[in-house]
Amino acid sequence: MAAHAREPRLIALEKSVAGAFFGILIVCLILQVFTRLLPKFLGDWAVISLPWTEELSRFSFVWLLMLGASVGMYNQEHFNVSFVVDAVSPALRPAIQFVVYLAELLFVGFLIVHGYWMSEMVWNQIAPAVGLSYAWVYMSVPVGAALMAVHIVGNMLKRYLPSNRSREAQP
Amino acid sequence: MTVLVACAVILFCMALSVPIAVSIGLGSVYYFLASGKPLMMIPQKMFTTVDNFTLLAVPLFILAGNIMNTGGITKRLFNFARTCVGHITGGLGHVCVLASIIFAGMSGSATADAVGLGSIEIPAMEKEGYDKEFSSAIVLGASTIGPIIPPSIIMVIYAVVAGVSVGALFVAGIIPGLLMGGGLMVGVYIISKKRRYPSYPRATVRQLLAATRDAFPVLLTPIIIIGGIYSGFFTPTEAAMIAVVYAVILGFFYREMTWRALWQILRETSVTVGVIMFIIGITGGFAWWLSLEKIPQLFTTYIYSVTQDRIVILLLINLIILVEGCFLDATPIVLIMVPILMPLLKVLEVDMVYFGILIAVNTMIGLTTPPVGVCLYGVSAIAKLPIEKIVQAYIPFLTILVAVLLLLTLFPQLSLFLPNLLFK
Repeated sequence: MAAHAREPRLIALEKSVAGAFFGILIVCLILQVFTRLLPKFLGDWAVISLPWTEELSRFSFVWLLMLGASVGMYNQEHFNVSFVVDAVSPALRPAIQFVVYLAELLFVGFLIVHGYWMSEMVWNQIAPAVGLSYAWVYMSVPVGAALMAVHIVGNMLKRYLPSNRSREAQP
Repeated sequence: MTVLVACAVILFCMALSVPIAVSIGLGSVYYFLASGKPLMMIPQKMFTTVDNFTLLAVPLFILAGNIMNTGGITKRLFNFARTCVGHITGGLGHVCVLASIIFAGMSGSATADAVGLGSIEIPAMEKEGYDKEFSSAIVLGASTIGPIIPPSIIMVIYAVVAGVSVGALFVAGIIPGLLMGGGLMVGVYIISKKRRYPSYPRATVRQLLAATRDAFPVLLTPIIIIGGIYSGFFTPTEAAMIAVVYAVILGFFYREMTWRALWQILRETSVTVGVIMFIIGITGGFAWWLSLEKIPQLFTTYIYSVTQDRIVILLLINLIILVEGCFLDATPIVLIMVPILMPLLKVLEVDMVYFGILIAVNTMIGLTTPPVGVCLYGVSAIAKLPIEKIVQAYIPFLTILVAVLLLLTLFPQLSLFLPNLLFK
């Protein structure tokens, strides 16, 4: 849980935006429970309908998850299996790690392209309560994936370009 | 053939330490390409899997656990548990277990339990003359109770994958969780008798009342959460939200929470949430094509041709998951294994709630076993002890937990008694 000593600006920004979406999500859920329970106590006159809370909470959740997953990529926090690599000789590890970065880039690149096409397809579908196109939700995938690509390349540069080692703090 | 290559891609990537989500994603991309299905289904399945109201409980329970650790709640629990059981031989060992049991009723994460309670308990035990290895081992063992006694993050994930009621699963976890706690306490007692560990003088009634008064609002949390879900007043997701709000209120009430700290917790927790939800989304597409290719059915027919004995198969599954638990985190195990095992379990007429408890207990034990275990890493970081030393001291407790798992496997009624009583 400890914050890193010096967070790059982009990471700090992503975490703040994700945190803000988390906050919106919670406020929406509170409003939902509240408006659902109020009539139970006060009778029918207290029925309030806030359909936008449901849509907004789903929007925020997806964005929160893609941004969080992107920072997770930077921190290399995603679940992985390390015991096989730990068993091979240390000399081989930089090469293996390079393949890992390439594999990540390959999949992230796929998500950018197909995530973008998917958002383009739903451009005309409008979420009725908030009046926004569903593309705004689906865009979280290519945007999050693009940020992941930035972090993967950044991590690669940090690792394989010796000149950067002294300047950048280890994640 | 396509399926075999796709699975080979996944296993090969995983062996190279590519993140599991990316490995499964690449395998899926290969499968869709080779079988000529639209690739756009992968991001789409990712969406439909994650866009699930029940699943929203997961980020909220993670958040609630993190808030409780900052808000001074853990500390009060520890004091309360000390006045209750501190006088038994091996006092602080029992305190750890009892505190974990109560904490389990508020938080659904073993890591929050291990790190939160451990950072209070291990220094306290060291001061009382317990050796550090023993203290770390008991904190580690007790942390597995966290996600068994409701609420539970892993059970929410299982409920979504297996399509069972979260409420029934939560209630089913109560007796198994208490059994684990009881077993660990017996272990603590025997070891402490042998090593002559100290105990506190019995607390006076006045001290007990004072500690109860101080911890009372905290002790109310499990009642609100479980009572709310059971009475049908809240859905599990709403209960998770209530847990978050209540933890925030308590934190401010105890004057240990600030808005700034809360904001930092939100920011940090969103990373954990992103990592878990990302893999959940990606395995959604994976489970879809596995079932399309009838892999689970093939697996079922194969196992069924080898043996048809329910208990033998269940023990075998348990063993496989225990081994996987040594290398994998709980979430990926549940996400990958449950879709594959479901048809087999259906044929054997295994109750899915009962199996949910088995896989939850099993994967939580997996979080404490080397070489990979987040709880083990957490405790080792707090105690500043190398992993091997903790593992050595942990073996008796591990044996107890595995014995409880065996009991739970052999006697389904231990898990099913309460949900059958309450939900049928």
